[in-house]
Amino acid sequence: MMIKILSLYFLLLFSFNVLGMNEIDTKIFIDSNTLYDQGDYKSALSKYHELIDRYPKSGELYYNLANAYYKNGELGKSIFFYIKARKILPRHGDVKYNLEYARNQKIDKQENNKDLLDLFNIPFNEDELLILVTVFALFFWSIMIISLYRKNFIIISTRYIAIILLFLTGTLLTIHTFSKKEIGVITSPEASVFSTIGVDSIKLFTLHEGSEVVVVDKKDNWILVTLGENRKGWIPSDKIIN
Amino acid sequence: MKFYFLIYLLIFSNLCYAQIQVHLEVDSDTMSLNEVIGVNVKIVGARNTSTPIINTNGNFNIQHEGSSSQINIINGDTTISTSHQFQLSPIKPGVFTLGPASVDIDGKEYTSNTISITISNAANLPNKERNYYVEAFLDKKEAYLGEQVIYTFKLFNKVQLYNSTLEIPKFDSFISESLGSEKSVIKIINGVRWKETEIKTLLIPTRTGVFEIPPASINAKLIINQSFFGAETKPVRLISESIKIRIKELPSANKPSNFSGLIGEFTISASIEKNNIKRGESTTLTLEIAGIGDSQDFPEPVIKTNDFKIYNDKPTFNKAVQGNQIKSVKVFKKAIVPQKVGNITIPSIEITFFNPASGKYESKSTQAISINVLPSENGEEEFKLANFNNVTSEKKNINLLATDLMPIFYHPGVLEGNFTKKIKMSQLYVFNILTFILYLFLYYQKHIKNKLKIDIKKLRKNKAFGVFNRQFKNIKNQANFCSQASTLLREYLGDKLQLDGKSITTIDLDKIFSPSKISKQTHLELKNIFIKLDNFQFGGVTISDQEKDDLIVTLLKIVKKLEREL
Repeated sequence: MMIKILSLYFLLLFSFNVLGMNEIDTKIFIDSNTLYDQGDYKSALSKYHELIDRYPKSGELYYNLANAYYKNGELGKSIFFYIKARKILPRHGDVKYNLEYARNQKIDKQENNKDLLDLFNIPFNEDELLILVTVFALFFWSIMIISLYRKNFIIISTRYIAIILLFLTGTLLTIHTFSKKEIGVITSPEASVFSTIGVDSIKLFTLHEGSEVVVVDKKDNWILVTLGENRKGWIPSDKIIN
Repeated sequence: MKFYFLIYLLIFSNLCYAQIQVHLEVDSDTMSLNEVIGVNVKIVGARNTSTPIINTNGNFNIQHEGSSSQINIINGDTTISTSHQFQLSPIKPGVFTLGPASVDIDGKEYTSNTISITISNAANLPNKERNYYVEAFLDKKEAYLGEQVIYTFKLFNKVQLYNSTLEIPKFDSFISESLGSEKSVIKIINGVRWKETEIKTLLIPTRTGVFEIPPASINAKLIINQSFFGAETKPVRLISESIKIRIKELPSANKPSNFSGLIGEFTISASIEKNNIKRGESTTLTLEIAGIGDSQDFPEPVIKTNDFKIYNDKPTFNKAVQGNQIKSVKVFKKAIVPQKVGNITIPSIEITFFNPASGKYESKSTQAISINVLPSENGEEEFKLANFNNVTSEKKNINLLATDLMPIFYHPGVLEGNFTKKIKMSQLYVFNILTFILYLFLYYQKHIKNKLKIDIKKLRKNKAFGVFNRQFKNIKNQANFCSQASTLLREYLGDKLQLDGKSITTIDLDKIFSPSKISKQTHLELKNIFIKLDNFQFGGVTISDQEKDDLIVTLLKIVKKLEREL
């Protein structure tokens, strides 16, 4: 009986819900790729955007979209979507290569924004970390149940390993969640950054297409951005994508 | 002796803390704008205090110079004091209050007196009659937005100044760039040897309007008396005049539509790597914009043509200060890939800039460049970005002719996503919670089981007397009284001691009851009653009514005793 209950439990646990892929979406995806190959980047872009609304967690879609933006001469938007793709596909070499390729085309010299996962070279995205934490938690509670009835060296050691794994992944996820920054990328060829949005506004510095900034605040049609090192100012929202 | 002296000092130093006084003193209560005076804060009754804070109300600059402590013993009276020396320099003319000075000693704040100081304007002696003076000026009184302006600060001195520190003003509304370190020259004027020190800063206005650049100042020390034992110095402060400048908007008349904000005087040149190429090959066009001014923000020049494809490389930029001017060079490189065979022309590229020297917008252009495109060797019509050499027996390095993006994802499966997207997080959460609940349930079950085990023992012990009493009443008139009484007593003991009562024998009693568990008397009485009951039960002795009554009383008495003692 116990074996039956456990079998059912694990069957339910590992029965993944396969996302249903619409045939229409598949056709749109194939069409947009064909348009891309034909050089009709504008049409490809609109189709990729249509799909992204329905598959917001597909890093490959963001990557294709970024490629189309790059080919369409929109460097800023391409860098922005490569960054999004990289967050979902942190181990994919093509995404990393294209992001660096696009970054090399921008005019402004700046340090690239790195989040925690990039900083420590952690090869997992946020979702993967979340799954790891949940799986380790499950593992931990299972070991705790076993240790109620059996206590030997292996069980006790496994319990400590489970605690360490859970703690490490949990800490990483917590730090990552709380240190997340909203990234913006300049989309217009030239964008001035002003000290304020009021009448006494003075032009602080100029950014060029592709420059990456951290979005701090938003007000009306203005966005407060920072480049670090006391470089902070307001930029019109039509000159930036975030 | 020394020890007693130290003890004496310590006692008195502590006593002196009880009478702490703070005095604020200045060298002079009148001074001019270019003078520096000494300020002394004397703390009587404390040694080695923290640096006092003097309230200047924003009217003075103040600098801590050092401190010293003193212990004076005069006619048996000990006085301990600490002096902190400061240098005070005024900011503006007027009558201002200095102080109080405050100092924190053992968590208590002590404050001093205040002093009124009159500040007059700097003496207007002609420069030549002075021993030292400073000047600050701009190379122009008005300039266009973005035009380069040179700020010069000069120190003239015919006497030696030491430890000079220069305070250059903040150039708000300007981007400032140092034009190198100070330069000194010696000049003979009317037979007097003057030293002239000059520091230049390049300013680029970022706003229009009339601006005042605040004065610059130098703090230095002047030797007033040199002797064998050292030099006596006097602090001096030299302040320049503030300077006004008008920054004008760029003229709106005749402003070209392609003006990108470039200000200065520039030239543009274009060069091509190869004039004769095959279709499918690429050649590099280099555009160089160089001149006086900052061209960092100049955007990528756009070439509109369908004859070739253009791939922009990252531009390079260099800026340097030469001859009191900022000169910059920005180089754009473009990979040109012809789209057709024959003669194609890269059109002339024009840049427009505003030249502040002429006050006009000016343009400079490159020459058109002609490229002769030959058909490709294999006659391929397809355009290729990268062309790799064929593999031969002799291995060659792979020459990458061009670079491009990595290709897109074609497989529709990417919409499904990877492993992480297939897992439903809610399912994982539910299983986590279920596992946790299962753990709690099992833990609780195990815990209750253990608790029950303990409770059953306790219950048996507590109820032993009641059970005995209840059953004993029923057996009083029964024929096998002795047998049943013996069983009841044994069961009572069994319940009390968590043992199998029926198997307890007279011999076991010594083992069961150690001297500490029950008293010796009770032990003995219990043993006797066991023997008596065994005799009546197994010895063939018939129990009389009197003996039965006595046995009942003794039994009840012993059980009550046991109840108390166990």
